[in-house]
Amino acid sequence: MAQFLVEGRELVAEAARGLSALALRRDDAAAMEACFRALHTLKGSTGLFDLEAMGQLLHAAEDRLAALRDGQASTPGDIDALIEMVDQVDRWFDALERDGRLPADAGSIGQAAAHRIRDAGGAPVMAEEQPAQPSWRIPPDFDGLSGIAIRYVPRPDCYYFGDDPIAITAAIPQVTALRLSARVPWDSSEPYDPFTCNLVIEAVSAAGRAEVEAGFRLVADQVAFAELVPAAQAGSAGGGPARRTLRVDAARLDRLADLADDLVIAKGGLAELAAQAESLPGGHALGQALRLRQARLDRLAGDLHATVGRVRLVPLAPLFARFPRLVRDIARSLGKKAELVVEGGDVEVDKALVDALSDPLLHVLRNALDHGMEEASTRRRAGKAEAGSIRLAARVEGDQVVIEVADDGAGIDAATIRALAVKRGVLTQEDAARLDDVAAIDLIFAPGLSTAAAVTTLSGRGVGMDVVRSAAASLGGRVTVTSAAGRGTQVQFRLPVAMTLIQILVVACGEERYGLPLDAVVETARLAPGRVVPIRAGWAFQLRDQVLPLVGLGELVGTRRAALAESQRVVIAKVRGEPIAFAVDAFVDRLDIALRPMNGLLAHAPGMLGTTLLADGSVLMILDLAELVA
Amino acid sequence: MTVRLDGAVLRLEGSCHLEDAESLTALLQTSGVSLVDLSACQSLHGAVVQALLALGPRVEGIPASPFLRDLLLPALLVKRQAKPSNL
Amino acid sequence: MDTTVLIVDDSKLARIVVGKAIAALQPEWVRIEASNADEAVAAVNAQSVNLAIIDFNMPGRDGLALAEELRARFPAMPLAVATANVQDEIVARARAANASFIAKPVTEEGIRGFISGAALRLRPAAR
Repeated sequence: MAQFLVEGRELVAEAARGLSALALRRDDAAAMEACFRALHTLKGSTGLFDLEAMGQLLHAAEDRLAALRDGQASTPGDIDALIEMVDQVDRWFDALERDGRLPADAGSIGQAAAHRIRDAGGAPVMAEEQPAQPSWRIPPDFDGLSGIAIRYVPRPDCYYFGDDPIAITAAIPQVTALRLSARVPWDSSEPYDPFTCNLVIEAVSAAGRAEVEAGFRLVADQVAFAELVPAAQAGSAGGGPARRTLRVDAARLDRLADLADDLVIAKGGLAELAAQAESLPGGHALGQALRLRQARLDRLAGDLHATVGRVRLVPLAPLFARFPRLVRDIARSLGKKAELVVEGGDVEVDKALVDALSDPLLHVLRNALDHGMEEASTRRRAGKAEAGSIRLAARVEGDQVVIEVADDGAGIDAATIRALAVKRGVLTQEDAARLDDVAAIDLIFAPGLSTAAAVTTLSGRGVGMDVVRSAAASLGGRVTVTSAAGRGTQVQFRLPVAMTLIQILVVACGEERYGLPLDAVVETARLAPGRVVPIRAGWAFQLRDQVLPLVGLGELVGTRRAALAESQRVVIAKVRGEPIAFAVDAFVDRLDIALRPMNGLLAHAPGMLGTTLLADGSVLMILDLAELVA
Repeated sequence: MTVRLDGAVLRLEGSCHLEDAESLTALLQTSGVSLVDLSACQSLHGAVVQALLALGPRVEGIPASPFLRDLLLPALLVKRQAKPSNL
Repeated sequence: MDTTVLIVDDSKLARIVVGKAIAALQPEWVRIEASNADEAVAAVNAQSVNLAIIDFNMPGRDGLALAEELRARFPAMPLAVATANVQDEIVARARAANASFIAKPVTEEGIRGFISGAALRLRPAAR
């Protein structure tokens, strides 16, 4: 059932895409084809799960689509009716996911659809073509495989006749799965007889039937075959080269990703050990050899990590595909009209991101409809199209993915927000007055502000924009909003695409250790006493032809204020383009690490890029120097 | 030697044929073997595979042949049917 | 009594090849040869033959016909038909006669299964 739900959603999305394309161009043959395929496959699957109402509705949809294709009398509402039918199926999927069964009224809806077709004199209900059923139960491990299923039960005396069933099976081309079992349960009360064959060999081959049968011709009377067709084919509409895909259990991928992380950590200590070996008397050659191996291991671990990171990447399309229907439903319930345009579904992000974005994006969309979208009459008066437009778009910028929700609604009025913030006690009057408009609008993310002035059935759920902001932060990213009163609002998420491996410099401040991203670090140095000059805001020193400000890292992080050492170690880093020196107590190490974004209580802590796990099991904080200094 | 006892490990090496099923069975039942190592085996006769399936010793090692490695070994490692008590 | 295997093939070369293959697997077995069906029948009349490998493609009575005759006389004798070209009708007839197939040209590997199985069947202790 879980498989059905996953594939069913994809098929519904495909059908919806096809219908949208048809809405634009009635004669889009590829879209028609794709829509048919999706509906038909979906209908076929419903038979497996006793979802008669869904099957009836899909059948009715198929017929209606067929009428459209064949150019029979079509009414303007045809595509809309079809979209509504597909939306209904999608809603039923929601019910299945939530309750495990269809809602009570499903039966009558399905019946009504079926009757409408009959009454309209549509095509008679087609007999379901069933693929030839195998005469035995296909093992569940073979689920999802396609090709020829084989069941070979060798005769008990076949060994005496020179047959080797395993060798025969090994010679079959393109075997993709194999299962061995006992024909008669092993009986431990009798001494084991190794020469009586008791094997049952089940297998799947991707080769053609003729080829497979030929491989078994000498034992043809002991073998049965069946065609295997996977339950639902989820192809991409409109063709294009099919990617080879696998369904993989997400937990396994997570484990793989964790292992890749651990590997990066585990190899971390090697460079140091190699250095130690080199410094031993007579250890030079050994040290060199170790270094070489370590370098290679570095490369491999980095490759593995990057590849695993890509494995976890999935396109945003399935997530985005849920929203158009939801937007329609919400708009309808608010008595407004709005359309969702989706772009960038092929952008790929870490699977964890997709899972985590679902609720925040939904909330942002709800907000756009509830607060952003004006009533039809208001829009008309303002010279806008009656139906509001919301754009959900994703694009990649470097190692970040940018997801925007932009609407052409009423926008956010800075003055209103300021007043609301004061009224709610979030800010004092003076503080509110000091904020510029951009900062004022950003207040919508403040806790305590996010419930709307008018509580509607939607917003009353208590999922606020503050939760959206912390969700973004917990994923290692951020969310911002811009708006023009009367014109519209854009909410923008900036999130890391995948797990990142970065190089860091580990430094010590007193007892504490911190990691600094190496790409920000320009140089490390030791300052002789006397080189450091106190200035108004702190210290500075001269480095070659520049004077650099010097700040204590320990101080910035809030741990301590220390006097400058005799020979002060400093890390010179570029912060927003300007070099700044940070005083530290020691340089500890250079490491490759997998950066883990902050979550939970620390998600809002400024100055932290994330954390990583060290080889000794301790957690190292990675600092965001720009934020610390700001 | 295709079936070789090495301490408590039984090593199947090279091509194991029909007759080897007999010695394999005897060794598995009498000599306190705790592990069967398949890493050096190139082919296994059905009777040998059957003995491993029936007597259920711990199996280790990755054989070189793709058929053994990717298809047969996983099939052997699948949880075996529990042996029925007096039927 | 030593195990005796009868090799039937009209080609002397082929008989040598089969003989070598058998010798590699079962050196102690006694090998006798016949070049056609009649000679083969004469051989089983003259001595105790335990198993036979018969070339299919022979002038006069073909190998399958000989296998069927031997099967009628010796219900439990391990019999194999050697042929380069296995056709479905031949497969059916051979199965009916409870005869195994060996691919030609005969090799040690190709004959191993039949020989092992036959050796098993011929063991003194009945299983």
